[in-house]
Amino acid sequence: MKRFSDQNYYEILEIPYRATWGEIQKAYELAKKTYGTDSIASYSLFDPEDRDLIFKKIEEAYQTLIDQEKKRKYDEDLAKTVNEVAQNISAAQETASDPLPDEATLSGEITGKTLKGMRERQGVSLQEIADRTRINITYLFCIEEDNFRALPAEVYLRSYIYQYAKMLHWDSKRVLEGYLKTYQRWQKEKAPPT
Amino acid sequence: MAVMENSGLFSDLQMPRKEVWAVGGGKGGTGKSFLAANLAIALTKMGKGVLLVDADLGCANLHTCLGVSPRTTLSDFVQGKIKNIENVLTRTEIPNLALISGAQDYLEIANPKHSQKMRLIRQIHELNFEYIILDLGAGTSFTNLDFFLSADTGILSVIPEPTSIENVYRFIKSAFYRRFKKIARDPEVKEIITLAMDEKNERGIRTPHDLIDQVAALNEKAGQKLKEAVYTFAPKIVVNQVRSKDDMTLGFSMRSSCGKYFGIKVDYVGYVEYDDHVWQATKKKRPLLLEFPYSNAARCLERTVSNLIKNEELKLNSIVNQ
Repeated sequence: MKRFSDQNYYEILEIPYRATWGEIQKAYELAKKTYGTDSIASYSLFDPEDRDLIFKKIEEAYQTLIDQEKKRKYDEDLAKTVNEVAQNISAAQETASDPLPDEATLSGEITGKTLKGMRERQGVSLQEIADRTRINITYLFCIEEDNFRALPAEVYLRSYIYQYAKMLHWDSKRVLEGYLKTYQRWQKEKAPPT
Repeated sequence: MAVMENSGLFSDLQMPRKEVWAVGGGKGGTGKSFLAANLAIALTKMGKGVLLVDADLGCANLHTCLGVSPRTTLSDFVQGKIKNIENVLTRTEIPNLALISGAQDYLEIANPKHSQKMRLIRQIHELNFEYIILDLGAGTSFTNLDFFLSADTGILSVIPEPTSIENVYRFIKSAFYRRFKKIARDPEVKEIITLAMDEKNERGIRTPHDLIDQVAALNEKAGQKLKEAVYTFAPKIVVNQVRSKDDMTLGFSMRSSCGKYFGIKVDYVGYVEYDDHVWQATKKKRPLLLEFPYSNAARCLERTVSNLIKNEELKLNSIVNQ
């Protein structure tokens, strides 16, 4: 959840990072219609200054993303910022967070929080994954938050994790195995075998 | 799929089979009952068992859309005349479709006590149907908001007019903040949320972003919880009475505005073309899908149901390229 003032050009135009020229064009047309002065869709949520600001940003985003050279430069800068943020996060985690219990590290467990960190480092939003995989975003969110209680049955969960990892170009099998270990440990703890 | 059905291997791994949809949207005359009734019929045509509930406690008229006259209504249940909600079910001429008719007689039923209302919602949810569709009344009363929030899928009916759009946003905002308030435990946080509902509040909270920031500053955990609530609040939009391509793209514009303002993802699941057949069917007190199943509006409704079931939304390309 980002304020529009913090959104990058892709988020402002609501397009995926790999959007084609045609997609950018259509998104721009729609955005102009949505935030233009005659629009009935946005006036009651935003005051005129906010609409102006959004409109300007849309124009900026469009002019940058349709120009191949400008787009390449922008993408580079964006990747740099994402990396810096990711490094800051992992540095902060190394110093601040509790170390993983040895047992967990040895058994190759992967938690949703780890997945989330890795995903964010790649600059892919959860929404993008939901859009592409058609997995309900609530489930994706619960996966990343290790909210096991709210997850669907394991057959579905397996498929979700697999698709999630695949979309991010990770080793799906390893991620799935790692996450299931965490999940199954939780199940055992929840209901100890009699 | 065949394996799953035959072997029973996964019988204990079933997904929840019941789905509750609520159709709301604030303003009157935007086609909520029309939409609820026809979505229900479209589902029965796909072989689903459906219960339609007229949750418009003040001004029930869903039975008229279906052309039935119920003997018992929700008011009998709310007043305690009928103990078991199953006894309020009315059969309809449509196979697989049952109706719970709204209260028509007692005005005070329109504002039931909180405990009465929660009991009502709980009992409706426990009824055994594949789909339960709640047709909500106009306005942003707590009753409407609670019904809306109780559903698995909240559907907002809007027509391409400024007043209707304004009301839908107001409805989203009210539902959203009510949800926040139900989640929050800290009395101070609750107070900020109440304050934020007033647009000219002294704390300068203009958007949900401001609200979450202020809550997080006060109580980090509560802020985190509200953020999670944002991700899981995802109403669907249906645009009714569409007459032009601009009307069709309105749903995308609303989706974008909601995303940028509330930070929520609204799905634009379908539009229904403006069609004289709707008016003709309504006058006959017959549901459109039965009276004119091949009309343009009926086709639009069927596409909308299909998107809702598959949890898909309209694609901008499909409209722009028409």
